[in-house]
Amino acid sequence: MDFSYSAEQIDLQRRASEYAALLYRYEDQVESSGGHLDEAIQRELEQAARAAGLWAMNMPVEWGGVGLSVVDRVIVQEQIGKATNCLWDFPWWPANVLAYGTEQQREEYLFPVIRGERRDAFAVTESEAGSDPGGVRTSAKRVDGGWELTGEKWFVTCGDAADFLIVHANAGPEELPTLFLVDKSRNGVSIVHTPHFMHTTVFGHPQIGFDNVFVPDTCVLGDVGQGYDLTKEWFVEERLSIAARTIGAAERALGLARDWAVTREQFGQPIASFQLIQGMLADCAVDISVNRAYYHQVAWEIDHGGDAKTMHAKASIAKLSASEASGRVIDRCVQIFGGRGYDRSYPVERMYRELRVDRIWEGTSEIQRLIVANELIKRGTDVLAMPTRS
Amino acid sequence: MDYSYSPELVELKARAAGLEKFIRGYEDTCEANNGLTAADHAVLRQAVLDAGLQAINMPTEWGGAGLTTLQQIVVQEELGRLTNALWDVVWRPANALRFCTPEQRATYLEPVIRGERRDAYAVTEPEAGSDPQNLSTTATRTDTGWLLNGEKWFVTVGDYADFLIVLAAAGVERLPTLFLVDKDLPGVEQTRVPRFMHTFVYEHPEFVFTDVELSVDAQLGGIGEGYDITRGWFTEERLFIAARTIGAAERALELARDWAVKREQFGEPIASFQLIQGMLADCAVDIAVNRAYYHQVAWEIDNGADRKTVHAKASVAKLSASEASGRVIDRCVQIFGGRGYDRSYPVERLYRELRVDRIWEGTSEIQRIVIANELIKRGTAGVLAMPTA
Repeated sequence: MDFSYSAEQIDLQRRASEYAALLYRYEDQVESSGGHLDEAIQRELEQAARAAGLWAMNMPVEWGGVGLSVVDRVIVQEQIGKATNCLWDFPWWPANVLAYGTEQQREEYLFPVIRGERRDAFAVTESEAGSDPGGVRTSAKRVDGGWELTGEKWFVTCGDAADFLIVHANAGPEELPTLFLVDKSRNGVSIVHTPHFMHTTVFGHPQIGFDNVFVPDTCVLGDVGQGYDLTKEWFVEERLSIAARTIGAAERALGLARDWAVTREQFGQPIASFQLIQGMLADCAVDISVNRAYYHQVAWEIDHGGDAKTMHAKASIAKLSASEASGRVIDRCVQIFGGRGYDRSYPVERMYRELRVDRIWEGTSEIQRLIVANELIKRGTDVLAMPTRS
Repeated sequence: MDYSYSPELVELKARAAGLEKFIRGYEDTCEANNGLTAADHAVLRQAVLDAGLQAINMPTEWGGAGLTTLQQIVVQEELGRLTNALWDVVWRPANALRFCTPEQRATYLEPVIRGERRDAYAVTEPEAGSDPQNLSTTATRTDTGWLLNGEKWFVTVGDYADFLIVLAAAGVERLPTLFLVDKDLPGVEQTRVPRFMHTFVYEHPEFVFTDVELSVDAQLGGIGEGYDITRGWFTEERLFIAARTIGAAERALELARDWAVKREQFGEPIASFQLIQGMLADCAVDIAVNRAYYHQVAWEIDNGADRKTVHAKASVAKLSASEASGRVIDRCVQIFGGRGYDRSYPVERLYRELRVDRIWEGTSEIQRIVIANELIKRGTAGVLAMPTA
């Protein structure tokens, strides 16, 4: 066994950490403007991500990505996850499913995303579908030369900044779950509503309507009926990324709360000298440490050919555990900051709102529990085992 | 990075699992009779020797198994599955005995390693425990050695041991010092054998020392080194508790999962109810993340990590794992329902046994203080960081 970062990984962590520090500079601006960041600054942040080698990190080098391993991505996600206001979304990583496109689709969609000229957004959830995609109502009707999409999608993250969408719809009379590449400029695509969420972010999660939107056959991503399988793969890595980002955020919060506790004086001494504060600091360190160890392990297992079903359950353990843990951490850190922790100009206040969604999106904590329990019930407790050398 | 067990570790784990399975056969008798017979102990001693898992913490040149910290973790995880603290029949001499002189080693440590003698550590007192500064046990200089007086509590294995390692305030300067005290010396009295919540294969009796005459050779380590030597082994011991408690939690979850898929209510296995599923999943989380962490910390110890940082990390591991396994076993008893309350079911025994892991070798509160001190003194980066090459 070897639990240490290589020299390359230390360098990668440093680059990601410096990039996160750059993002910190724009947090107040985004927060105070209700989510606005000048286009010029956005381009600058994109450029900086590219220069730091963090752009399209999940895509192979031959396509113009950085080609990072899953462990390496976790290292990056941890650092950028420290930035508030979802600024970690600036080093864009295209949806993995785009890798399954045809050569033409890659030329038209994926490669421009990697070059930073286009942007994708995933559209799955609906009023009757979410954790249960079986309730998807968006339909794709067979027409001459292609399909006609009708329906409405909720919570399309970055759906405002994107110029095309990956839409999960039921194709044909058999209602086969299928992914479609839909340019937002197509007739019949409209932003119905942009909800104002608890966090304050540059990119929104709008509701998008599709009214008899024609897409040609060349815009079917993967095969007709393959929609679930492709979406599932996306979940494994996204869930691991969430684990890493939330623990990165928790680590920043604890660093701030610790510094606050040693400088803030009450009753003639730093509040860090009181055991009830010390207990909170220690519990935060526990929540961060054990989760960090685990998602590194799972990332390593994915890189080394871990069984797909087991990895799916392990990623759920990592996401459930880390998002719940960081929720506890940030609650304590707000408490340690007292009234200042309730002030939006302090990162801990923003993280308190922002980390809340990590227990909801990409599968709620309850959905993760069902996935883990199903694995235990179906295949026993082997999911708990450490990996062995093959 | 490499998170995988080597073939050697896989073999070691299998060997430890084999020994665990053999010892498991003695759980019910231990529970029913509050201990084992001398004949049982003899059989188990031989089984430990046959498995080559005697004194895993001691070097091979002295007769130990000479395992690394990581290897010991793998063994402890397996043994921790045993109820009635039967993991303790797989003897590991106190690390303090490494400070033996060559003569002391031949008289005390090496017979312990061979399984012929047994040591017990005596630190806690009516007025001293987490805070050892308040020692009332004293060692007074005499012409021929020392005169020991005082009282010790919670001397684990004190009934079975034939000598004690006693922490006492030595001389007029009251310097904390360790002494090797044979139990058959005049003035050593085992006073009370408390009946604890668990049914432990050994007892944790109380001892009173009245004018016990010790020779100069009884002093273990230097005068005044008693705290440091005692503290020095907390790091590893806490890590082993983390591993044992998670081993126990894993066994409990296996049993609860099997129970849940068989036990039917309202016409279906209770595993089909989401409230049961939620408990099963939360158990898996508690086990998985802790397991990853103490493996990491064990590896760091073997690879020369900074001692202070690792001390805090071992506290993180012990606090986290003991609290986590406490949650796990509570849920598993719940899943078993009335059967979980029955002493003939392992989950019932584990429920009582795991409770002490949040208390001994430093309570959860002491671990929190250790961790917080590290955060306050040296910042958050060191404790939280992954190791680097």
